[in-house]
Amino acid sequence: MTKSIFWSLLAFLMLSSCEDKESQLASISLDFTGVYEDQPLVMLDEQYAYEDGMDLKFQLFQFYLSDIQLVKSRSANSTQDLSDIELVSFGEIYNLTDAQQGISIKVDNIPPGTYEGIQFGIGVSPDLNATQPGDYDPPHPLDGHYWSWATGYVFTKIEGIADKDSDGTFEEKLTFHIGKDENYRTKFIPQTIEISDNSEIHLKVDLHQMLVKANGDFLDFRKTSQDHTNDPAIADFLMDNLVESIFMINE
Amino acid sequence: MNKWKWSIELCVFVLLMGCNPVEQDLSRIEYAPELLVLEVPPDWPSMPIPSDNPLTQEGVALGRMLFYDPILSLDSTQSCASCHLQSLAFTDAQAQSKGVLGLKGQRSAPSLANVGYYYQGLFWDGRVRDLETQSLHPVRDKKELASNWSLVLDRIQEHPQYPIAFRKAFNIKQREAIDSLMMAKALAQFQRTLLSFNAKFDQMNRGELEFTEAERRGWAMFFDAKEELPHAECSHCHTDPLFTNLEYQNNGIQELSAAGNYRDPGKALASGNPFDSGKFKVPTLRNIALTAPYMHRGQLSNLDEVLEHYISGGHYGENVSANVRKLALSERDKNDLITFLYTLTDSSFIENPNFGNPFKNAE
Repeated sequence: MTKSIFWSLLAFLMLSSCEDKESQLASISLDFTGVYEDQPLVMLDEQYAYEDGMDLKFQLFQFYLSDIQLVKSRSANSTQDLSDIELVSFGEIYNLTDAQQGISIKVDNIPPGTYEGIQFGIGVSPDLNATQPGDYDPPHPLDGHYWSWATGYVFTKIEGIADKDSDGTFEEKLTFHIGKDENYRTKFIPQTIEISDNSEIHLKVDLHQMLVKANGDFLDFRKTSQDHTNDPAIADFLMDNLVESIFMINE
Repeated sequence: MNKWKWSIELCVFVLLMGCNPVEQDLSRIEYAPELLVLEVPPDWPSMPIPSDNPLTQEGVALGRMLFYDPILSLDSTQSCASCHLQSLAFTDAQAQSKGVLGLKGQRSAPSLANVGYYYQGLFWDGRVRDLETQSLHPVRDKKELASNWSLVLDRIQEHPQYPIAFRKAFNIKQREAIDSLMMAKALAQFQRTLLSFNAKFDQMNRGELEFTEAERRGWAMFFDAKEELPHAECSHCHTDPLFTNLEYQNNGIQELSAAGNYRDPGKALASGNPFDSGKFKVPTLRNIALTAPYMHRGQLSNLDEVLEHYISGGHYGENVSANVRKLALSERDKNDLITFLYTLTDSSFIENPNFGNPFKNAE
């Protein structure tokens, strides 16, 4: 009898302990806000001044992030996985309210504590880029945006229209679709992040900075209005710029 | 005399069979549904199937009966199959189909090939979320079957066969338990079996045969796959294997009015978002050679006209997809693209006896 009470108590304590540990894990959110310089990024409803007297409106801006991890210790190569793959799409953001709210991705079961920063791949990691939509049950970030002929995903899409002569008609159609393994990029943001339950990690993406490099070089839509990863220089330009366009804005 | 007597007795028997009183207590009939697993190519995505409506042999068989039975229409003259003919990949060759009241529908009957994969809404404007909800609409639509559920359910519940079929599919105990939702579930189950994946394109992908030179050129232009060939920009929206990305786009088929509106606002009607105006579901191109006329209202009669539309870049509109842009295609390019589109015709789909009229043999 005494033995049975002892074992019951032990089991109870062990279960309680597990439960406590589980409940200590945090649910957090990765929040993305799109901007065009200092303006909120809104599809179609806003027009944005571009280089060389052109104005732009956007229909779609999206990109994949792979292997998103919190970095516990960079020197010890200690990380906490947040997500293998996410599609960050601003394609359904049509007003300022939604733009300010941004896109939120929920992640559960994250150990609380202090992290040195966040890192991720921009595009679809080579491992996942070797898979195909049929490998996933829809809805899934990788159930579309796939080039079967090139066996790979479209890492980023910019689609929009340009008014090249300031007459109010956006006659030039813009489509830039970049993929292929060689255009995959990685980024580490070294910024202390305190994680507790309901923590929010705010990331800002500046589409202007993706199109116009810090040195003033820009994608000239008078010369090129479309690229499907045909021109390696354009793919490099856009992907290198995209790396620089993503910021963490946690205080 | 004996001959006549025998004939009269046979007639009485047949009449009695026809008037066979409906079984009241259905629970005596065995309920043992057999799960049906869809056989799809290994490189295809899984079909999203709601957990409360798994596919069963009995449910699919019942859905097939309902699909082909004019009992669903007001005057018992039209069924789902009246506008969705298997021989035309479940379209009807009409720009706008006429319902039982003689009224024309607003839009063209879409193909049902692989419709079970459409998890981003159904109808041209995406106004319903799944096949179960979709299946409820045509019955009451005045431009389609123009009936009402009270009438349909009376007929079904009093029918000599349907209550038994519902028992076998959905475990009802009494015929009064049959409702519209149950009918919609059965119709959805049948439509999820309408898979098309055995066109020449698929056989080429499986290495079973090779494209001709024209088909290969058309394929490359369709997928923008070769730098040395013009890009036809088709595969941005018509992505394989379904040949639709399931999204909604404005492809510039409609001209904006002076006030800046579209005659048919399409998805905007369903979403309430003015930026969706003029957007329609990207249709599958599987079996496209069989599904003329084209576009949401059947505006284009043949594939030549479709290509000319895309070559023109379509009408201007700020939300016209940036992927719809002026194309430079030669006559040869156009012919080769159309030749490629013909490789999407799946004769095994339009001849599959499991998709046909179950009452045909009974006639």
